Amino acid sequence: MTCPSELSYSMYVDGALPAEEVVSLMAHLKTCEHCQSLLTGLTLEREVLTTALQQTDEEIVVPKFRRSVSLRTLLGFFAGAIAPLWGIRTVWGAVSSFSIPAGLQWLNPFDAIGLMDLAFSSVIGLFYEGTTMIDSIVTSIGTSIFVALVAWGVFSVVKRRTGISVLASVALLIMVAPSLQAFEIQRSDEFVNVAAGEVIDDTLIAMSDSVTVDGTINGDLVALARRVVVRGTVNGNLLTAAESVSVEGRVTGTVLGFARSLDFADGQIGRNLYGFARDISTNTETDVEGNAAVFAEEAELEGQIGVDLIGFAEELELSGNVARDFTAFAESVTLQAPARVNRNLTAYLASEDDLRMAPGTTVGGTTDTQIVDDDGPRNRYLSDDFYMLQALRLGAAFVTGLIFLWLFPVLRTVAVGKGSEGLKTGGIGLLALIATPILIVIAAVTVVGIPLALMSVALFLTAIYLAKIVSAVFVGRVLLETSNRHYAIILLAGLVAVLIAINIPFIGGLLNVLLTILGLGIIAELVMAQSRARS
Amino acid sequence: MTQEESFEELYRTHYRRVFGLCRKLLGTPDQAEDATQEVFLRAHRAFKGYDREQSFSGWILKIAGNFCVDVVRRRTKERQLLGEQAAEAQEAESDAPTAVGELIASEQAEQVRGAIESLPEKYRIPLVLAYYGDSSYDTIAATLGVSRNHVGVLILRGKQQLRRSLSESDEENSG
Repeated sequence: MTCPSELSYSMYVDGALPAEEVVSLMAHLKTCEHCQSLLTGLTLEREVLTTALQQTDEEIVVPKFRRSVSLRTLLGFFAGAIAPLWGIRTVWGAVSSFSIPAGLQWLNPFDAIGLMDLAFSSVIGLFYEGTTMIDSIVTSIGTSIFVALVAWGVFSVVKRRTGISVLASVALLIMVAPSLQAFEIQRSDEFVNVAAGEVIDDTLIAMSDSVTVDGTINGDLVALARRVVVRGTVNGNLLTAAESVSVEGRVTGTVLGFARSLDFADGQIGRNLYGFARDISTNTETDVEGNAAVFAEEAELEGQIGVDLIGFAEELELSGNVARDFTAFAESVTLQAPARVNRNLTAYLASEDDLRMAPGTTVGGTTDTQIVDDDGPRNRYLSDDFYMLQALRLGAAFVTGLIFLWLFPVLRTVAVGKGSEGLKTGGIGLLALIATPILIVIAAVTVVGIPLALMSVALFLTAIYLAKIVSAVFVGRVLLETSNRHYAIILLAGLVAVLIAINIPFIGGLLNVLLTILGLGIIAELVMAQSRARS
Repeated sequence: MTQEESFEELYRTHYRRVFGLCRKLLGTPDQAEDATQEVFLRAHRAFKGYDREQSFSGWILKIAGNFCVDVVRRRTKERQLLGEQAAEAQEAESDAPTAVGELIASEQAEQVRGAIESLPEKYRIPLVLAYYGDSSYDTIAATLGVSRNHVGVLILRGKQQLRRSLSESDEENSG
């Protein structure tokens, strides 16, 4: 009779032999002395191995448990470190100058200006301040990441972790490389000026009260300022946001401008013009070689447009030359001599009378007036764009919500008390919604309060956006009747419900306000509870 | 005791055992220390989901075994960690069963440990997991991604090689 293999005995000793094989093995063992001694040897061997492995001559010191540094901790650290620094810097800047900074004059309530101007200036001012703020935050974060990467790289080299040190070095190179040559940033409180004869061979990003270009920029120009004037040449694109923009020189690329007034008198634009402004004007010398798309209250267009012109405006006046089609969506469209549209003119208007064509104007192709039904807006629920927009909103809110729920786990389990507790939450929310803007305005009246007001505006806007996300979590929890599901599912369910609710005709707006109040109330209560717990 | 405190307590009581496993699977004390920290970090992250009915020792040693095997796998890269099962089985079967226990019973524990350390990884890992990590063949099979029988073959091959190297050093000592 053949003996079972040594493998079978070895597995038997380790208790790993299947039961059915154990039976036949035992039967064989009774009659085979050779196998009996093999089994004894293997059993002894197992004991020796186990004992030998358990013993150790090494002195093992238990080090302190090093907790992992999670991304959340890092983010918290950066936010905690950067926010106070930035706050101190801003407050110090405002106090030490002891006057309202030029860029912030619009915030002075005694400087009587029209509501429209105030609103417009606010946007520009916030944008200007915002970019400065983002810039300083980005610099701080960038520096911190840079330092962390260097430390990480050094640590990896010391620990001989080749892969990680290579990764760290590559990350460093990627960070450093663009700052070596990609673009130039000029920032100043007063003005940035590229003087006549001066040449900048880079993309120029200029942020200031006024940006003037008399020289040449061989690259793109990104200008954020109160006033932007281009008299020289930009051999690239011009991207600008300002109170007033004037392009009198030459831009070989595309111009994308957001401003209160966009003026292109004598300007030469090599490619397309996209203008968003209250007033847009071009003169007879203006030459746009590509398309022009203008969104404005009043647009007065002279000069040449090399391809098509499309205009959205209240009043649209054309006295120049359009090489191809002219499409207008406007309250009134006027063609003054010597206007010439080489191909078709299509105007979307409330009535045929709103299109006025003075003698001496020509349309090469057809003139078509589309009457837009002014009885009411088109049913928005029937357009694809509406659903696309809602999907975008949902996506954005979901991603933002996830980040915030991840950062602040306390928000995942929001609840509103029953009866009077619920009313209290609502009351606090309403108070926050009404009182915060008032407090911001009061803070803005005092000079020192301006930075505080600015920060509060940003915080308040963030809180309003968050409020809906928080109320969505609440709604999601109510709908799913459980808190055991992952917070992402609860958030998604809540967001879908909220998005549908606020789009219900007639009562959607009211629901929107109520949900915002509810969310603000929950946030305010959480903040109060946290500060109470701390004290 | 909070969850954090109880984890730190478990860390202190089980550190040496986990370190020992990592040390035997990976080789150097430096690597073992890093690996042990990483194993406890992973355990810390997964601690909420840990089934309290299960022994902590078994749970953490399993995490450690999986982690170290991954480390070794990355280290060996193209080098095949585990040979073809058929070839191993054939070789193992072809060894004639011999009386074995006595051969290494007389050895000093230190010599045995030295011999285990110099075993090829493919034998050392399952052997250490079984006799130090208290892992079952099924657990080892899952960790290594091989069959249970293959685990048995690898362990037996490891033991056979141990016997050979210990009897050789015996001869050297006596000669």
